[in-house]
Amino acid sequence: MAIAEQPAAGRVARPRFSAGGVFRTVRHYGIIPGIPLFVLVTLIFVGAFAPLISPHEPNKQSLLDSNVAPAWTAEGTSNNLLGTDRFGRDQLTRIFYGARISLIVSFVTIAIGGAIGTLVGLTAGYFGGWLDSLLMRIVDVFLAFPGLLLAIVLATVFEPSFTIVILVASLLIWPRFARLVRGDTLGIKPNDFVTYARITGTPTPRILMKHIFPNVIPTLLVLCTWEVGAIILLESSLSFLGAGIPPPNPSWGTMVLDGRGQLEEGWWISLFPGLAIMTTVLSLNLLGDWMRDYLDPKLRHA
Amino acid sequence: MSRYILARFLQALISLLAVTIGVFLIVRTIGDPVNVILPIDASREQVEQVRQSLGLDKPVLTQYKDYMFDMMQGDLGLSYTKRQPVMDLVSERVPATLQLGLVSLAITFFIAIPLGVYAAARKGSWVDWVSRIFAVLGQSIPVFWLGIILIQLFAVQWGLLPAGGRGEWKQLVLPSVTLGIFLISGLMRLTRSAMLEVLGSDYVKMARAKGVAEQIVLWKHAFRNAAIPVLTFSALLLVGVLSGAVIVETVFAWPGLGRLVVESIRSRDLNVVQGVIVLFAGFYILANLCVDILYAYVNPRIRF
Repeated sequence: MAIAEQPAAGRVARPRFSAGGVFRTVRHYGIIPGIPLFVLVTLIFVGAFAPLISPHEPNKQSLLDSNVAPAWTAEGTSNNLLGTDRFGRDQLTRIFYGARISLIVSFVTIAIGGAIGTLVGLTAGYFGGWLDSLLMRIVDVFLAFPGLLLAIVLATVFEPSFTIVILVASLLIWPRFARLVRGDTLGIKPNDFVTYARITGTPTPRILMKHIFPNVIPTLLVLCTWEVGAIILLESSLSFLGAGIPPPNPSWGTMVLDGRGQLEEGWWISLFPGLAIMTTVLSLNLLGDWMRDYLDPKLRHA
Repeated sequence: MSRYILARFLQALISLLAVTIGVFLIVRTIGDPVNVILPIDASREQVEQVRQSLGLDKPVLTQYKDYMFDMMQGDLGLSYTKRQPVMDLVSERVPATLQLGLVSLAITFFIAIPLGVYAAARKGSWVDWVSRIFAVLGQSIPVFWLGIILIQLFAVQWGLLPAGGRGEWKQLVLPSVTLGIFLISGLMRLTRSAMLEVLGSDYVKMARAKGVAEQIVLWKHAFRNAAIPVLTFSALLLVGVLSGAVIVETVFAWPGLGRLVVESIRSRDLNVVQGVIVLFAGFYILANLCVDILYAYVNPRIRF
């Protein structure tokens, strides 16, 4: 067992790719991070190359082929592996393109909301005092606001669009980033390396970015993983309510909505996009949980 | 204690004011209700006429003052599309949402608390595993999809329960179970971690050492102390009920406030959306206030 523990200390060692290496990695880290990671890599691949690997056009209607069952059922054809919806659109193609929508929304949101939250958290934690109190008060107000309702107000006032979904999601996630990063910053600030940097006259922005920020990254990685899941759930819920990504874009939430009125004719129309949402969010949550346990040395050996 | 309550009360009032101003500003200044009511090719006189009849030609501050005064008298304005007072539309829908919310909360507490307590007491047992699966799935399943799958199975496939609507008790089963499953995971995780913390404490060890029955240790010594964070979480649970209700009511055609909001988004009936959101926010702030006061009452360390 002592030997198996060894690679944990050698995490800095450059990983070399080989079949034996993969096997050793799996044996060391366990199977838990592997499965969700595989799912997520697949998802990113599918989203990125959707136009190349899709068998059909996502919005091409073909009323002759409406409500075709999945390929393995008696009425199914190999032309539409996961069947078609009311308008004869290929479900598999739309799920591929839906992955793309989920990825774009969550990455842009993380980039905007995460960056703002991190900046606020660093500032509040580093400067402390009245600035900290003020910023955290604002954070509390935002955290307390029921997010879905805010989204609904905005979606009623503006036409539903990508921009609104991203805006709403960013408004919801930045306070969570701010709170967590502030907590970490408070813990990092008393360290000697921060004091030395200050004594040697390092400009404050440089201290924040070069000395404190790198130490926050592990926490940020975990939070980002969880939040991407939360954003995908929010986006699909909004789309389902008609306040999210506008049709005919193949958002997974919209696809579930499309199948809602067709339960008698086509059970598959809602089922598969919902499974896609669940698998993705589940993978993100499991990976996030695993990362939190792995990156926290106190929990690692517990 | 009374000073603390007074301070919290003032804070709640300020929050309520902030929410109403925020919603009001968004709805009145960014979105123009006139565009929603009139067709695009409406003449200038028509626009002016509607503007005047809705009081939109006055300064925003005056409009806000009027709105607040009316609201205190229980008047939330008129629905643009249904030509009915918003208050009537809302009060028609309140009982349905209340019923759904209370039943699902009952289901949630009934399952989440024992599951959380026993998962903590027997760490690693099958109860713990069930609770973990619940926790992870509950966080990952989209509520609206869960509802649809339940309809597919119980209504379409097996014909056991009705797919939607409100009237007989059978129609309450699927929506409240769906909302319940959505709420259970959070409460259960919290109960479990609060219990784990308390079970490691000295007084629990002491109670066990002197031979107190395990059930009494669990519920009387441990759970009573673990209940404090659970109590605080109840306020968050209410947010879950409200936002969950918006989705669940839509899926099951349950005629409550959530469905009213979604219908109003579709018809872009700003006054109704504004009224319901202000009501939800007020309810939420009130619930938070109650929990805080209760919390201070239960936990002597908080008293200021």
